[in-house]
Amino acid sequence: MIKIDRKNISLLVPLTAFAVGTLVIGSNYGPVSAFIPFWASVFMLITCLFVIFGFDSATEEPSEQDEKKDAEGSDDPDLARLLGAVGWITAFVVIAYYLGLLLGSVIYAFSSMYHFGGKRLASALVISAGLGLCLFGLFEYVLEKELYEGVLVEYVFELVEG
Amino acid sequence: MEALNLAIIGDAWLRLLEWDSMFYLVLGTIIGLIFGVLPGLGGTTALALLIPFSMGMDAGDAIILMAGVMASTPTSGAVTAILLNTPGTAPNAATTLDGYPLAQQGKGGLAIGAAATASGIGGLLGIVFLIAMVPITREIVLAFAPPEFLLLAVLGLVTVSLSTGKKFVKSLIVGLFGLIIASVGYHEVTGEERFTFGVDYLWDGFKLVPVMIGFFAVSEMINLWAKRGSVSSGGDIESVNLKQVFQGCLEPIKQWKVLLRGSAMGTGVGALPGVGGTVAAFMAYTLAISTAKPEDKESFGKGNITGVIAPESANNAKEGGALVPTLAFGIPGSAEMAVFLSVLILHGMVPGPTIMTESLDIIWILIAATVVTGVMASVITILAASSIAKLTFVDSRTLVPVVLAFAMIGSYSLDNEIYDVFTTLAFGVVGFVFMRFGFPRISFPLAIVLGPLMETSYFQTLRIGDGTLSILFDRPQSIVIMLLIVGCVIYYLKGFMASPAAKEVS
Amino acid sequence: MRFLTALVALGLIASAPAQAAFPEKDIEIVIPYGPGGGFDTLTRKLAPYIEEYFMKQKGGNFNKIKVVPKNMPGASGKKAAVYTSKQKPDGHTIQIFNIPGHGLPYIKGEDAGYDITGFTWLNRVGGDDYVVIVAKDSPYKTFQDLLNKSGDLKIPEQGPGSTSNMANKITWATFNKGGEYIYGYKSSRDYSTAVLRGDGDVTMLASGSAKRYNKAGDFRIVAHWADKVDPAFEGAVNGNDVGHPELHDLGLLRMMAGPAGMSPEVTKTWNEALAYAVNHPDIQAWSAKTGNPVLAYDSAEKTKDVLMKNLGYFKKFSNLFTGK
Repeated sequence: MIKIDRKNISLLVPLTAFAVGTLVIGSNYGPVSAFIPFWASVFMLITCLFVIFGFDSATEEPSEQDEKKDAEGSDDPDLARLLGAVGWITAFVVIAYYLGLLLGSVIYAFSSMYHFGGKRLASALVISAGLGLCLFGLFEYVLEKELYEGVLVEYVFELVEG
Repeated sequence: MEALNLAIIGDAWLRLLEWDSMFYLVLGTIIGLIFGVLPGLGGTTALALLIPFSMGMDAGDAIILMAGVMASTPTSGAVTAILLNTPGTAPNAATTLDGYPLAQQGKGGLAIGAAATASGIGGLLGIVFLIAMVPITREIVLAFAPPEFLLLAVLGLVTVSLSTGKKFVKSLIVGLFGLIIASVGYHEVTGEERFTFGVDYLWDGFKLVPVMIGFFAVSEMINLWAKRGSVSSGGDIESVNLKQVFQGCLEPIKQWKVLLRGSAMGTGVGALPGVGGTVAAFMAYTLAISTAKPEDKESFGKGNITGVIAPESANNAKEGGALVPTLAFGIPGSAEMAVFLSVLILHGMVPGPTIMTESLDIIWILIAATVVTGVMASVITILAASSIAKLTFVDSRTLVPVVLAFAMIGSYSLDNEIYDVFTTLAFGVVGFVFMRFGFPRISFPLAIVLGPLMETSYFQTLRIGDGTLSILFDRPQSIVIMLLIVGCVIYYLKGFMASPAAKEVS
Repeated sequence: MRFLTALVALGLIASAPAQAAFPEKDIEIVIPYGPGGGFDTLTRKLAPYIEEYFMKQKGGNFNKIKVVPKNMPGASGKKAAVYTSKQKPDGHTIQIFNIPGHGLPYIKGEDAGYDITGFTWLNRVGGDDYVVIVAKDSPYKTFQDLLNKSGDLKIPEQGPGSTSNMANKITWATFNKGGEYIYGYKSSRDYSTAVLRGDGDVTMLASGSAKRYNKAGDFRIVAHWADKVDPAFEGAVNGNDVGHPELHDLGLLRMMAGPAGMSPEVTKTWNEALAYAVNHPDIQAWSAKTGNPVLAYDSAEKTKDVLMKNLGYFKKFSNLFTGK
């Protein structure tokens, strides 16, 4: 009877798909270029299948960490909060892309503290403003490095200059 | 030995006592500390920014400034590695493995104290080894050829995977994933593009720093955010004080053998061009595990202070090592050294076999400055440690957005490339997913660094050896390394049989 | 009334500056590689002297115009070239180019997102010709010995597409000698050390680099593709000696150019600024000491001619560069 490693399956399936994909795409390259992608994906495929079908001894025994978690009552964050975290960070990157890193950081810091984190309005405002000032001072005066200005901001500049 | 001309050495140290030298020394150290702490900005960026300023300076002053920067960045980089799981510079990544768990236990001060001390002493030892190696630099550079680099890369990957104990298979998967990621981009050897899908940004492949920031820092921030609370879930803020820090400072001295081995590893590996500080730190880490007492091995990855001492001594010692091929042959050991090399050339010095005869005075000034900076950087870090370590008690709702902002900006600042920020985000999610499923992440950065080295060396070895790998058996150096690999595998397998209890490192 | 208008118009014209006040703001010189390489070093060395030239032009009582080198590595130099081609051709953004490196797409007939011949070529700043080197204790004592080797020559190199690689391929193809290339070395320093070590038999270096690396006398230079063989290279043959003087056209050029469409006045100003910097005694001394050859021409037209001649020469061998 084939055992399936249920715990890790949701990661292993994409990884296996990744390995297969790499194998397929990599086979189009010349022999020298394809060397690493080919062997790496072959081994990756083998090891993923190995773990999926439960041959990996590490997953059979409950690990110390798992036991501890079961004892304490799992503090595994629920999926919603996790997705929220990823979503917010993605939003930050998108905002930074359009409005620049400085503005993006301040907006992101404020929104995640206030809306998502539930901090008081005043402290969220103060901290994000403080962050903005620190970043500005650091990069503008101390390091003298440009911070990304953002696609929209650049567009506006071009309109003004042109 | 002509190089040890006491008069010149003495002059170099006296030179440091002059006012403007001291000014540049302190300035360089502070700049280095700041750049080291901010993730994404490291020694290379700092040096590159300083080039224009250094051009108007006298050669000696320029060297002092640069040495100040180079010797201090790995020291401060450990601070964020420990407190926030965000390596300040890539060689600090190994420090996160045990440093961050210590911070989580409220022992951030202890870890920083240990790291700073290990860094300081490690840097000094690196210089000592450098001086010892000076007469044989030529032989070293000529002895290490592609066959040895190939085997060293394999050794690195094997030891790192094995060090994860029972999670070997999972860590292998992560490592293989890393190898594939590392192959994205224009292949220097064949001129072919791999996995770029027509995207210009991917032409040069994924850059190490944005990937690492994402994989370690962003993933941890996602975890922290979702988990709520603060970094330190254990311990209390009162215990993070100078006393804890000083306790930490004593650890490397108590564990002097680890310190010595880590520094030797750092200098040795740092001397091999292209292999670099990141590898040195990780290898020192795995060496520390393998030489630890069996009952201690399990505690690595969960806050074993040895796991902080080893990589930190290595990544500072590597500075001494990296100077070997740079000065003696003009072959920079790392990107940072390449920039340093250009500063030397801009000031009319010609690195190579003759630099020891033509510019000996400058070399000794460099050495003296590196020594002093190493100590200064450590002291400053130690004094600031207890205040900074209290950061681990800041609530994640405040901490996470702020750290993420710095992380993303750091990622951008590397090359002023906004797509690097996207990369960081992507690998942040990937790293988090691996973390959640208990896949050890340590093999990933090593695969990215060693993968290309291994691949290039493999083909070079084939070509040199006329189409076969038999050349590996003709060279004594290669045979030694192969025996080391076999030895490591046997050693670890024995370890498996001996202790059935789970050995886990995540 | 019309006379008055004409007078006013004349007056206005007369009081306007004789030519556009270039440069008006800080100048950016794009470097297509990361900090630390030969192009980076040379650009940074020249920058202060270019500033000095503009200061002198302006009479020195303006805010000093800064010449800011900007590294833009990526895609082996393509990223910078594409960037520069898109900037305003007002002379405030120029770039240092690697010829024939940047001309490789043109040579191979590929599109790289920029037209190498379309840039406004300002002046040459450096560049070099090539030498053939072996290890001092190698069994090959002369160029002819190399040709006489049975089988292909083993040649350590950086990668296909580097200028030295093109030089190697052209050289050996001229003599119908096969070459097996060992790619993957990180720099010219690295692959020449590889020859010392015995990884390969022979390789080619820019003559300045050869002089620099050979200070300890580890190498033997068996050929120098130049009309006059450098006295430092004892015993080396040149193209005339081996019956192929056209090999003297093999060379690396470091040139500066701006986006297409720069005005003739600004182009001339740049040509003079670069010539001034290159010919400055400090730069000449530095060049001699560190072995980084520098050279400038006295007109932008000559620069463009040399460029096209170089590219034309390499283009003849384009079939060599598509294979491995």
